[in-house]
Amino acid sequence: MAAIEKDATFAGRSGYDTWVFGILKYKILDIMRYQKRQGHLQPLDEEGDDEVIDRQFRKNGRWEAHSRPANWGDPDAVVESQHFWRVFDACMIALPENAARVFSLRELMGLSTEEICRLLEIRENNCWVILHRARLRLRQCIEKGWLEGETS
Amino acid sequence: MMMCKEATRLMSLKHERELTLQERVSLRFHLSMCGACRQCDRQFSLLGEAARQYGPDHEADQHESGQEDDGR
Repeated sequence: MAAIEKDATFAGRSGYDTWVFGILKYKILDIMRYQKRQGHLQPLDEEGDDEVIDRQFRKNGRWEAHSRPANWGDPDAVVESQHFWRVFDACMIALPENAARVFSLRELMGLSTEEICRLLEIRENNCWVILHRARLRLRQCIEKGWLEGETS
Repeated sequence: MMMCKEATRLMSLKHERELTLQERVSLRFHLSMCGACRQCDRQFSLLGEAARQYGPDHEADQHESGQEDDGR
């Protein structure tokens, strides 16, 4: 991070950031592999029922009234909103550890589910279930925190 | 017929692998009739987009706006 602060003269700033982030990504993966070898990385639970998700749907599989996804508006405007990022931050932190780990590897770091399975030693199907639930949790959390914050 | 919960499974899955023809058809059919799921589908895509920006761009924005970020 100090490198980014100091090098204000670097022309392609976002290119530079992406480059630094690319290096960090491989560092993080190295650490995770190391932790796994050392046995420090908790194995992922086999996913059972998930109450938080089940509460979003009725028994017949339709959305519960309180969980029906709302319109977030123009995606470009959303990612420009500082308030959105505060809520996104809080919701990422609120995710269960396994969901946060798999979602970050997939969407933040761009690993394929096949790579994630190899790294975490889980079945691909399990990975898909975790990602589905992570997205449903995230979208609900963001909608609650974000839209309520906008109107208050 | 496919219900919303199952539709969200396919909406999520399409970010990981290509859906089969049958999966695509049933998802498209469901989305054509269900406004809430159309929103959910957009939100899932936005979550991915946001996560990709979360790293470099998000940090850069915070630095530019003069906020100190000691968390990460």
